[in-house]
Amino acid sequence: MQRQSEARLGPLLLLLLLPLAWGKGPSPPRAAEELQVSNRLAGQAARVALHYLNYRLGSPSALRALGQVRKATLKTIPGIGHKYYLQFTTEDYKSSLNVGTCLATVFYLKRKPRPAVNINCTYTKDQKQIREDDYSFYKKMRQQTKPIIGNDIPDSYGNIEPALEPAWALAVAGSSYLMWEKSTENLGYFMAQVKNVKQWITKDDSIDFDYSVVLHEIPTQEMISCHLRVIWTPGHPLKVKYFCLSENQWSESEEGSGTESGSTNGIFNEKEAHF
Amino acid sequence: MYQIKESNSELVTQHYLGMTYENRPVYYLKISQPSDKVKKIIWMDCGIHAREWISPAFCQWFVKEILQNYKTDPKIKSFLQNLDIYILPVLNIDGYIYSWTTERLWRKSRSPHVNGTCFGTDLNRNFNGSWCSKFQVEAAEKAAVALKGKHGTNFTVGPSSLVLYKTSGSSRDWAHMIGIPFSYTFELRDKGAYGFILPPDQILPTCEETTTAVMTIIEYVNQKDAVGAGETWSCHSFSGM
Repeated sequence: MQRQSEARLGPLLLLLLLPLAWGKGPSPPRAAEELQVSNRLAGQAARVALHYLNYRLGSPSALRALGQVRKATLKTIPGIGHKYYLQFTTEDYKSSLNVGTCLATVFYLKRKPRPAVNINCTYTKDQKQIREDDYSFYKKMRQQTKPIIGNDIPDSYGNIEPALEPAWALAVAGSSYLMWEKSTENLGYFMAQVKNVKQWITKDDSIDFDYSVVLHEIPTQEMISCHLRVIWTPGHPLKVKYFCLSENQWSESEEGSGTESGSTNGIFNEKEAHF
Repeated sequence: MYQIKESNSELVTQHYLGMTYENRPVYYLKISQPSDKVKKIIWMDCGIHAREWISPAFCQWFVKEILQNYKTDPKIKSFLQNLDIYILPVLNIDGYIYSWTTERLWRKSRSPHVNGTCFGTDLNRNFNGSWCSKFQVEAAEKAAVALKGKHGTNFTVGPSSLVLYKTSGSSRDWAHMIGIPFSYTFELRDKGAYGFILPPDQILPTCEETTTAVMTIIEYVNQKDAVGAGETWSCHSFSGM
């Protein structure tokens, strides 16, 4: 397991090698099945891996979405669970431009509530620019004397006010934690809309937001309302608390610390974007 | 719809299908070149799910494309000689209006249940039904290639139970059950960042690329010999393919 402090390894050249982790591991190979890249469960698992990554990076400027699955294998471990081995491309969440490739494993365990994720990615976006963008948002929010507020982001027509865009992106990062926790092999999530955002002015170094978000649940097509509290300092793990309104009951989760159930070796910056 | 019919009366007729729960009339358009020939039929419906706004937008765009270009575009001219095109631009009218006036992310109809305490049926799970011919797949793959050529968008082709999720009672199942040989569901942009709430600058490229795909399939059906009545499809939008 990697500690959070090791997650920021700074720019490194990484060659992405397919055969690396395939088929290796502590347990003897069990029923391993190659999946078609269009297989929905493979795509679903890739998204879970990205929720985990987006949460762990905790960077509104570096959010990623799934591009395309390039390779997918499923191992059934009887009595334990299903493990997906994936290779997929990723896109910048906002612009949809390609930003690199990931190798990931997603382990759905029968006895654990949330999927265990391992993910390594290359990154072709400029790390320095990302840090600057994050910091500029952070600074602006720290300088607020009046807390920022907003509703319906995006609005019904798909518009996001530029001034609220980083707060929306932070909601995506925070929601990623909750979507990772809630995802199962068959149930997946997207953050459909921020219904409400309200900033809390803090006395410490962090910036602090209250969100109401709507999650889209697949395949049920339900829209799930959740309340999210996100506390952030750039370069530090996101602190997320949430509860969701589902059907007739409220369920409250523990405070998110997220150091178990997964690891990422961080982002390896592709210096010259050759790949 | 009335205006379209009026200004293109040599080709377009408007037909009444029935009334919605909230008493709104449902109309569809028939685009047909008068002739003695027995024609194959293409049926396209949009807006079965209220929140998927890109879908009715696409149907409108598609009608405009046909009517604007049928005199000059040889492909359109050609298939209109053998095919009639029926278009239902908004199937779930009540739900669609509700998503504009009240709840943006509403999906179902507005039929009341349980004494008016619960509303809506998912109209695309409610058909009687029971499924992918080789020709259907071939046509779909051609369409995906054509679509990608337009703006670079990748579309995945395949049985929806494998590519999307398992459903029952969809209009496509029903179409297949009653013997319609080609039936498709188009899940339009985007892949999840905006989802149903697609930004305005994506409307036009979505319509353009989808039109290319639809035209490819129509041409394919037009060229294939006597495969029965024709084809049907419905258009959705979806967050995350």
